[in-house]
Amino acid sequence: MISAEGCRLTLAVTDSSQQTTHAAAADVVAALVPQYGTLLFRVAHAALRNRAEAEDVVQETFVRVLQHHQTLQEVRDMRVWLVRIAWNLALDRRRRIRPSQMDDAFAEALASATVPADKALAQSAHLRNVLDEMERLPSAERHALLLNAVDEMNTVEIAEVLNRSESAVRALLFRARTRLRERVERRWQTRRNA
Amino acid sequence: MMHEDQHDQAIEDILHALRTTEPPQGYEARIHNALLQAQQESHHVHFNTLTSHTSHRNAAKAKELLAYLLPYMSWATACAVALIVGTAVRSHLQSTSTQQSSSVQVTQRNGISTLPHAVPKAKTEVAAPTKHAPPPHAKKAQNREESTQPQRIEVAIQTHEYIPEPSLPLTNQERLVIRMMRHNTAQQLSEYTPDARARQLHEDAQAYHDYFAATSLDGQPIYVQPIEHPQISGAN
Repeated sequence: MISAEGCRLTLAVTDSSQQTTHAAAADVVAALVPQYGTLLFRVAHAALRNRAEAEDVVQETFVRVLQHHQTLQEVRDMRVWLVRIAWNLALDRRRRIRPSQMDDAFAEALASATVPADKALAQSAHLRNVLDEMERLPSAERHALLLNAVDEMNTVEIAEVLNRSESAVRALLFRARTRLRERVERRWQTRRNA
Repeated sequence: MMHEDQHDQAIEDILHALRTTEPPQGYEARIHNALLQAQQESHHVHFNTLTSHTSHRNAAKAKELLAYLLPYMSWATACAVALIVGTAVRSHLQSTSTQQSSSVQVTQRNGISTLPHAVPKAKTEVAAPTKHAPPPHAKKAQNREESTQPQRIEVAIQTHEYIPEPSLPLTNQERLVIRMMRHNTAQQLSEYTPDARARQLHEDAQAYHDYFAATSLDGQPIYVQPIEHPQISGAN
């Protein structure tokens, strides 16, 4: 009876301590949301170009962090670590949805916000072509270009997320911009000749 | 050149749009709800795991306690077994003694003595114990039947059950028939029909008449009333 009560007491103590640990971890993770939530949303949106899907990716990112809260103390750069998780989750989600399916709405929203309605159709079509060519870029160049689009991410951080050197990221960014510009020009010329 | 500027502008517009995208309203609250839900699920999973670990730990402690108490429990177990066996034997002896006394009381109440049954049994056992001794199981069954018969009679009397009367003694005619069946042959028995019997009686009467008619005391024939010949149907 004494041993059973002892076991019960041990269980209660362990349970309470574990519950306290979980609660503390949840508080720590919840404190990360306002600090890195917007950044992660933009990273995910750059890859997916869909707001709902990007929000789901952010939620999943923080849930993963909560599930592996024991490794939080080992993380050197929380910002890069979170961006890497969100970027990989967004890339996994890209296999189920194609961002090109969302590009029409995204391009129309950009065009309508800047130009009158008569020119909005032409501009949205042009933006759609740019987005199509962006999707046709090599994956490494596209990833570097999209991560560089997020204002808060510098080259060093992009290199850490992509597991590349900083010079390689710079080269990727240069080639991506050059290739994208050439392809958009070629496409425009082809349509004009046709 | 102008087109290239347009293309660069379009690319910058897209990158600027991606750079300045704002998250939807209330997304932080939704993230917090998702975190709370994940925390509860992980707590349940951890509690189940902890409970299973604790049950294993309790089982191990129970085994250790049992191994520790087993030498002390052996004496207690032996005492308990001896007490149970003694109680069982005592109750069995009491039940058998009461059963025997009740059977004796029943037989005495019915006026049936068990002594005459015992004497011939002893005689047979002494005379030919090996030749005419029934098999053991039959003997036991017979004894059991004899012991239970008075009880059965008593129960039948109490419950007004129908008991068949014992068989009456044979008449003279029946005894004669049985004797004839035992001593005569099959041919004689087949001839013992009413017609043959009537002819036999007629011949006997005729012989008697002839004898007394032939020998008289005063030389006169003795008048013998002729015997009526019985009507024989189908006589040979």
